[in-house]
This record gives sequence, C-alpha cells and structure tokens, in this order.
Amino acid sequence: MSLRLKLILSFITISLMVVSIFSIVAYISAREYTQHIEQVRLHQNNKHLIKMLDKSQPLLAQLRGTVPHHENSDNRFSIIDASQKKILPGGGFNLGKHLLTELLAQSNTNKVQQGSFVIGQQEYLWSADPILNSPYIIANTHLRDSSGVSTFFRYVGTPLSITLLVSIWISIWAALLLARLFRQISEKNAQLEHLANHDPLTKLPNRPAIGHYLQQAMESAKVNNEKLLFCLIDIDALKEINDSLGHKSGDILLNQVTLRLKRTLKDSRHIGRFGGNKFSVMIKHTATDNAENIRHKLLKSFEPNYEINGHSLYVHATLGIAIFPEHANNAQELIQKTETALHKAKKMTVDSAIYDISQKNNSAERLQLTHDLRNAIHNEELQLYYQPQFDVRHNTIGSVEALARWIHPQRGFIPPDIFIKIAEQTGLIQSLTDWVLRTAIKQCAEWRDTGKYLTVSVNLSARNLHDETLGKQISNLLNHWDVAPDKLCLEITETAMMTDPEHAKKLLNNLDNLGVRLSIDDFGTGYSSLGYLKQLPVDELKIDKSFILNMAKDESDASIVRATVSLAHDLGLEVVAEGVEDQISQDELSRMGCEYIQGYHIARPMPHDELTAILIPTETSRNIQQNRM
Amino acid sequence: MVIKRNLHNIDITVRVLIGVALIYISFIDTSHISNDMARWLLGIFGIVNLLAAALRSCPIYALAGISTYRK
Repeated sequence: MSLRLKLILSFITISLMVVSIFSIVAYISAREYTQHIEQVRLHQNNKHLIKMLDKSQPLLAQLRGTVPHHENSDNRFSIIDASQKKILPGGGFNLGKHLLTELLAQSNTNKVQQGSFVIGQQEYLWSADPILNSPYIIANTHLRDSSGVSTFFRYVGTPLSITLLVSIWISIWAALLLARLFRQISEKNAQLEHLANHDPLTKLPNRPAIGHYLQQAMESAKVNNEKLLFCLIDIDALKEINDSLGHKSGDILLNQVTLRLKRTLKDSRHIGRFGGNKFSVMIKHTATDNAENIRHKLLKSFEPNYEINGHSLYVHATLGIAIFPEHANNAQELIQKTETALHKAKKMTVDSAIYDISQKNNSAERLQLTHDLRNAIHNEELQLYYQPQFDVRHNTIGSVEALARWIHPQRGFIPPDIFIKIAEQTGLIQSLTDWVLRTAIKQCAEWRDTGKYLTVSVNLSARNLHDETLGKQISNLLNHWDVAPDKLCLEITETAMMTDPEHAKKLLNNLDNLGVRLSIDDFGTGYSSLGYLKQLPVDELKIDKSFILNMAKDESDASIVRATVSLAHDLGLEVVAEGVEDQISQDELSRMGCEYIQGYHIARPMPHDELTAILIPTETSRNIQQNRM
Repeated sequence: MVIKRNLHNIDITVRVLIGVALIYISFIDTSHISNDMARWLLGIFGIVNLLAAALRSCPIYALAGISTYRK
C-alpha cells in the first residue's frame, strides 16, 4: 500500500472516530440536560399545585379533590404520608410503590427530592415536594420519552453528517499534502545518500560504498559458494594530464575511462571510483570470467587512444587483482590485498599483477619491524661492528668501517640492507646515523687513548645529505671527544651523491671544511659524472665489491678495477677495495696500487672488544695477522 | 500564473455533479438542512468543487503533486 493511501485511510479513520466520540458525548450531555429541565418542570408543577391549596380547609380532602384533575398521560401525581410511610389511595397511579421505595431511600423527606427509576423498558422521572406544616408530600412522576436517541439525531444528525463529510474531505487534503511532503523529504534523503556514496564526477560508487558493496557481494558469494574478483585500475597518466592539460581534461579522461569500463564489462553496476586516479571493478569469478580474461579485457579497453580536447593520448593503466576467498575473508582485507598487488605491478613496471600469497603480511610485518627499529635505536639496542681496512703501504690496520648490526630479540639477526632500507623510508635514518656517529667517534677516542690511532669510516645515507645540521653535529662530537677530524671518514654512495650533485657538492664542501675525510662508496654502481667527480672535495674512492669479487676470474672486471684505480690516482684520490676474499685478489690489488683493502680475507666485521683484542698499538705495529677473523 | 490542468474529464464530471448537488441543497432547496452553519459549510464545499472543475485544476492536487489528467 502506498504511503498516500495509508495516510488517507488513517486520516479518514481518525475523523470518523472523532465524529463518533463527539456524537456520543453530545448525546449523553443532551440527555442529562433534558432530564434536568424536565425535573425542574415537575418541581414547578408541584409548587403550583401546593399554592392552590386553601390553608383553612382540611388538607387531605382538598388534596384528594384537586390532585386527580391535574393528571394527564405524562404527569401523574401521588400523595404520600411521610409519617406513616405510605401512599394515600387515589390518583390511580400504580407506580406508587416504586416511587415510595425511591423516596424513602433518601433520608430527608422535608426537602425537595428528585430522581428516576426504570420499570421494564421505561424510565420515569420524579420530583417530590413536601407540603409545609403537614406530614404530606406531593410527588410528580413523568414517563420519559423513550425515543431519546432518535429525537437527538433528528436534531443533530444532519449537522453531524455534514461535519463528518467536511472533516473527511479536509482529512484527504491533509493526507495528500503530508504524503507529498514525506515524498519530498525521502527523495532529498535518497539524493543525499546517493551523494555520500557516489563520486560526483563519474557518478560511480565511491570508496566507502565500494567497501560496502564488496562486503555484501562477498557474503552472498560465500552462501552460493562462488568466487569474487576485485580489481583496482590505476590510471598512471592522470596526474600528468591534470598538470599539463588542466583538471578539466583530467575530468574528461575519467569520464571516458568510466564509459569504456562500462562498455567492457557485462555488468556495469560493479564499477567504482576508488580514489583520485583509481577505479575498481568487482566481478563474479567464473571459468569464463577468470582473472586472466578480465585482466586482458580491461587492459585492451585502454589500448585505443583517448581523444581529450584535441589531443590524442595513450593512457596506460596498471591493474592489481585479488580473489575472494583465496586471498581474503573480508572486504577490507581483499581491498588491501588488491592494493598490494597493484603496488607490486607498479614496482615491477608491469601492467598488472594478481595478489601472490607469498606477499602475505608483508606490510604488517614491515610496520612491526619499523616500530621495533624505532625502539631499538631509541634504547641503543643496535650494535656497532667494525671491519678493518688493511693499509697496503704501511702493512697495518689503519682504519675500520663502522657497520650497524641489529640482533632482534625475537627474530634474531636482521640483515642491514633490510633495516637500513626501512630506516631510510621511514625517516629513522637520521637518528640511526646520529647514533652510529656518536658511538663510532667515542670508540675512536677510546682507541686513541690506548695508543691505537685508527680512522673510523661511517656511512651516510642519501637522506643525511639533506640534513643541514649534520656538519655542526659532527664538529660538536669531534670536539667533545677531542678526536682529530681526519680520523673520521664519511662514506657517501655514488648514487646518493649523483642524485642531486649540486646539493651534495655544497654539503661535502661544508664537511670538508671540518677536515674530515670523505669517501665515495660503491663506486662503479652509479652514474658518476667525471666532471662532478673532479669538483667534489673527496679524499678516497671505494670500488664496489661486485667488481672485486670476480676480478680473479673475470678479466673485464679486473680491467675496470685497474682503470678505476688509475683514474682515482690521477684525480688525487686514494682507493679502497672492498669485498676482497682471497689472496690472489689482494696481491693483484696491491700490484695495481690500491691503498686499502677490505674484505673477509682481511677480517669480518666484529664487535669493538674483539677488534681491540687483536689490535697492536699503531706505533709499534708493523705486522698483523691478516687472516684473523 | 499559469494554471496547469491536472483533472481528468471523469474527475471534472464528478466534481460538477457534487458541486451542483451541494449548492442545490444548501442555497436553493434549503428544506433538507435546517442547520445554517452546516448549510454554509456544504455550500462552500460545493462552490470549491465547481471552481476546481471550471479551472480543470484542483489546487490540492497541484500541491500534492497529483494529476488525474493524462495527455
């Protein structure tokens, strides 16, 4: 039943009820009022009769003579002897017994009394008036008109039915207006809801709505034992188009993409706008609509160029796909897995990726590790290991490279490339470098105090190059421990240096002014401009271990090393070879004129106490057991 | 203000019949209704119905967004 009809019916019911209640109340009130009027009349009749009595004549005889003359069908008079409690004969009124009972039931017989009694279907009203100075009472009884209801409705019926008609008419009006009002409100609510759940540009469901629909679809898929495929489509070029052609063009692109997606998929209801440049597709995973087919179909839809404001553009899309229930149990998880797949596809620069179970918990684990690393740095739970560098010219350990090591209380040894990468991505690298610098410089001072004059190398990350306070901090530390600046060597990777060479040059100049040694790490792996290299105030160059490891077997690696050593020498730089693992390489490097050698063949990285134990005070040491590990 | 038609011919006919009947018993042959107020109420009801029929548009329909008229 429609709201309008419901309202009309309930309003009509209400008016009917109101009119009925009004009629009943009016009828009862009218009856009471007429009874009152009639009794007043009975009382006045009595008084009139009493007035006519002659006080000088005998009372009873007079009454007997007078009263019957006033009788008529409606009014019957009775004479009652109050002292003997009986009705005097005469008057021919056979209802006297009832009257007497009623009358005597009331206590005071000296006052005017009124009442009513019912015999059979008939109701009688009576009024009794005492005659002064006598034991007699005159009572007047009157038969009520039994057609009370019909008489009432004869007078009030027509106006009541007209009122009913008019009130029903007004009810219908009110119901119609209210129905209209409700409809407007609910339409507005529906509009607002649509607005809250849809993207205003493409009119597609937005992210919260997608999550909601996905959860619903997953629940029904679970019941029907079906699979569900969720796909995120990333439009890589959107930002570029927004930036170069304006946001209007970007909007046109988004609308065109929406149109193509709708054309590509059988059921266009399951397309959503997931966010800025991301669309989502939710589809039942079947034998024909499998991940491979969907992927192919979607990517194919992006193949033709998009025509946007006179530009014909190829727009590349990246897909991430995850499947329920294989990859996730709830919508949130499925979306997360799809995003992971999308990230993977983008990282690998392929056009699509399906979620791989082995990626599981990757991000959660990383998050935990980040948290642990932050605590570890804060609580100084990391350890600093030192790997000696053998000084070929002086045949001694002249320097060590400080390397951070993290033994996780639960997970054990965490490889440095993993936690340093996390530190770099999360900004923890600055505090990590701070700690390494503090510890290394302090250690350097301790060694010096025991007569071991070692240079300590500390690795800086690309992020450290943007730290304006680094120079000041290093100089403070050196002053604090009274360490000569040239006993500290800062290693910066070639890649970090060449990403922003101008900035690096500025920072390196600052550091060089402090007097610290500067070294280019992993040389040969980046794209150094020799022009820049010439300008940089570096003191040494570390050849990447990838060249050293193979130089014994691979002649071309050996050639590269030889050329690098020669280049470094020509530029006035010293050379460190890292990754030396055998005697042949060491001999070869010595022949090439390499100044320092570092690697497992010399010594592994070790804690400071272990290293201290094998070090001989510099002044006397000219020999060291090179093969100690 | 343009009054838009929203009454079907059947609707108009019913309204004319009701209107004429009510005006007749309220103002012409007043013997049926003794109560003056009721007579006037019915009379106004009848006039409104006739008016709506003459305009071919019911203001309440218009407010409620209803139309019995189909092109």
